[in-house]
Amino acid sequence: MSTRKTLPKINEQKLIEELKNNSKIAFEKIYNMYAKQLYAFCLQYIKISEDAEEIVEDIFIHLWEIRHNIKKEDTLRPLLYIMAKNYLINAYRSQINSPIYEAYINYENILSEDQTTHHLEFEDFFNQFKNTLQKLPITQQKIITLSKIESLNNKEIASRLNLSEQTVKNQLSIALKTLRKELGFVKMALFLLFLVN
Amino acid sequence: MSINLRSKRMEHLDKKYRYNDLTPEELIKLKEIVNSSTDEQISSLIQKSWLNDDIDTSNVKEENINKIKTRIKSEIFKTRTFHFSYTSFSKIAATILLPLFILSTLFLYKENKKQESENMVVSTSEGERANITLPDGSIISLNEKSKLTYTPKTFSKKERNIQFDGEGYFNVSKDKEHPFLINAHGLQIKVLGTKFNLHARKAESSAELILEEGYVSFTSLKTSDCVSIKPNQKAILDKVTGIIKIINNADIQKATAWKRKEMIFRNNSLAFVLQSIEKNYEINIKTTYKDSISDPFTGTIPSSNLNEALEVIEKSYHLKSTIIGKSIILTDQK
Repeated sequence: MSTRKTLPKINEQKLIEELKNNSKIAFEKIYNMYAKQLYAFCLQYIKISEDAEEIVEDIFIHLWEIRHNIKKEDTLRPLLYIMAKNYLINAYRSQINSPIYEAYINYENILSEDQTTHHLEFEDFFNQFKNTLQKLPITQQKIITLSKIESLNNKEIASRLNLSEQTVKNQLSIALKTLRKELGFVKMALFLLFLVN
Repeated sequence: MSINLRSKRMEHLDKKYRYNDLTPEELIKLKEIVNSSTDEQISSLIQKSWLNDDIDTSNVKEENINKIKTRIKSEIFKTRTFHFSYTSFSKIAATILLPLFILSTLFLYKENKKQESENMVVSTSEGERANITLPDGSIISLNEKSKLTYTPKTFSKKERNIQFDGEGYFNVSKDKEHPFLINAHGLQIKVLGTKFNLHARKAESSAELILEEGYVSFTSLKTSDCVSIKPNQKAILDKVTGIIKIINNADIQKATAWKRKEMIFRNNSLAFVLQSIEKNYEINIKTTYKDSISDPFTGTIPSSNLNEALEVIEKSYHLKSTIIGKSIILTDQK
């Protein structure tokens, strides 16, 4: 189902006028008109629903805060863009360069060759990784992060965490085994491949 | 690749990105294009899609949208924030005559009461800086476009809690019994008594903390990872992944350079200049010169030397300044 892009101009002008007069009802009407679209649009760039929710929240709060500065001739759709602009550009740049996103794209690519496996949304993929990582004991979590994301060697990790080098070696191997078991070989290989820069 | 071909390619890849239809090779290509494009180039692409595309909202859950609406309403329609203005406070005190003394004390008493049960918000706009002293004696220098919120009534009850967005240099007073907690977007910081510079803007995709002295515990809210930071270390939080990176031998001078910048004015009214000085040095300025001064001020004023700052004002407007405690009185030069 497609949504209407713009409402008749006269309705919007009236709404903006009422908004400038502190009308909470006008504000809510504007929210009802645009929030879904803005949310869906942000989600296309940022891929994670919690983050998209925050951006939408921020933008509408900001809209209320600057209501007196809105000009009579302004229209809502372009105005909302101006307020969302920086969020969207930053989200785009981050997500495009995110190693976890790259792992996800590769994972989906491998899967698509096998028709029987279920297609995952990025958010689910990301959450699986996060949740599995959090299932590990704290020390193992730290060791995996330091080793694979900060690319420290065992000796550096040992000194950072105040452990013996042997302990680090052991804990790292146990952690990798657990990840492999929980995530499956393919996912784990992809995470680690792309997390090492 | 010519400009036209390149932007068509980018549009094509961008659409595939948004609809989760990229192949690994296409992702690499898109990454390359995005990383070598300016913000304006990316913006015009995004703007075009927003203004022209039919945005598919069929997957959006009504409950999510309503949840957001409720949060927005509670933020803007119920909480009252009180912006504390130094000048209005002094103007009120200065203009009340003796018979009205009782009324004024009642007014001040009521203002105090209102502050206690509500949030205290201090914020700076673009180009502005300010200093704040919290009830526990901690001093925070705020850079431009920053906001700090706390509840005076509950401030030191169990913990010293503040909300923060922006950039600031924190000099937190030592209090082992009451940990100082900073809540910002995506992170939480806990200290007992330290000096550090924190750059944590909600709209940005990363946050940074550089520790000068003391001990800081930095938690990434996304991963629940908690890291201890030692002096001269810098912690960088990637908000997308929630991962904290530590860098040793960080350059503190560079990170706090914003604090030592001069205040720059261009054709600003004297009233505005005085207000900026008040905010930056955390003092009160009372003016008692006869005729109102309309000459605008253009120039720079030191931000870390009050005497020099006042000298500039004195010389520019033929005024005399007298310092009494935390107040400055400006009078005509006789």
